[in-house]
Amino acid sequence: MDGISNEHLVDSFRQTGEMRHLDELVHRHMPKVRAMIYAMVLNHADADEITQEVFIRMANGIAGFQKKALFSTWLYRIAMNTTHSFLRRRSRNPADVYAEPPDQPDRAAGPDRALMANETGAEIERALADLSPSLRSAITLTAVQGLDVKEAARIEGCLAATMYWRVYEARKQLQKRLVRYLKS
Amino acid sequence: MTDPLDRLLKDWASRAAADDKSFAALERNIATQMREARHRSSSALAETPAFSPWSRLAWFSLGAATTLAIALAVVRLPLLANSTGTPDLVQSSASVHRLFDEVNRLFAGNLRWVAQSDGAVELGIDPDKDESEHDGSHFAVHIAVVSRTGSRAPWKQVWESDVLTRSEQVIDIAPNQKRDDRIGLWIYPVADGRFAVDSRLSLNAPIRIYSDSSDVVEDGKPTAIAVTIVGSKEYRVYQTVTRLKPKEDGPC
Repeated sequence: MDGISNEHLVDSFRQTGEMRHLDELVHRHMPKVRAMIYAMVLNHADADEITQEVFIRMANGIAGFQKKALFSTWLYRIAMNTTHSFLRRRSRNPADVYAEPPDQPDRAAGPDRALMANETGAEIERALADLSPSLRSAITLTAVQGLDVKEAARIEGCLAATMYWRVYEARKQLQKRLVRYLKS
Repeated sequence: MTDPLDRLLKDWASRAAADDKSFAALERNIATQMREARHRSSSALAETPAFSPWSRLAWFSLGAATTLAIALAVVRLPLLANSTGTPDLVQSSASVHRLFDEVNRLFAGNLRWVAQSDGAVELGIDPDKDESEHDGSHFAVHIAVVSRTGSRAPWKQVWESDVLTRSEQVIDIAPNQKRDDRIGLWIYPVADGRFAVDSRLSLNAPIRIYSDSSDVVEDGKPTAIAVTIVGSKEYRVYQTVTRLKPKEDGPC
């Protein structure tokens, strides 16, 4: 189904009801959606759980998708709404946060490099965790996912000016926090 | 040339990504759950719906509800009924606002939502200080189940609920404290004056009906979020989200 647009797949599903069209949408977008969610929740098990919920919501809501935005914008909005809701719930039960042990170093890359990557990764995650959810989503959508600021604003449902400020503030805080790793 | 911070974050994200095997397993789970959800949805539209509200998704909601049940003290008070005994948002919003103001003061500003269903008012009181970010907008949400017999027959309202809430408040309510009934709401204003609304409704009476919608809606415009046919009767669920003007805002 390469070369077929997301919107065409949506139409095909609506017309035929064939699940393979939804499967293709999941296949295309799942890695990016999951990465976006992981950067927000910083926990693999939670990221998997939320990713599943996002695609169930996509399937349930696809009849109401009105093509006023790109399919990807609509899907990412569902992803970020679901993630923000999860973070609010988790803030009430902080004991579960970061319950996972840190990932094992990638030994194939050599012990020193692996250790360094692991240390850097842990520090990046701590720095991201210290950002407020709105700043974290701003940096996730723009720097990690590579979306432009206007697209990120559409996903987050805020003004572009607000998103510019959030990105600026998030970058400022991260640069200060990660200065050691940026220099190297 | 890529900014060093962007490069650092992208490198981290690629290292943190799940491996292909995990992706494949996740994709399989999602495919299975989507089919189950679709089957449930089809069943809900069938003549004799097979209703199963405690799906995996509903269990996720139940988790949220459990969290809220711990955090929130739900207080049931008798309805400030109007004279007709058929309360609706227009008739009773002033009463609910007054109740909201009074109880919010009583609970030191910790009132989070007010819901009114079938003659009872329920309040969500959060004992914790609210540190979440929201833009201060308040909303009235009217959910109505209407029915008719035949396409030319007039619609008759058979169930309704009104909820007062604010932007970005996660709400999970068991209307009238019925374990299997559920209202879930989350509203976020978007830039063009419309609202992104995630809503879930599962009812067992007067009709078994389930809906799960994620839409961008216009202020005050009713939206049909579910349809089901039982025998000769057609049922629809309408949801109307209205932004309250500042002078009407509850102080949650």
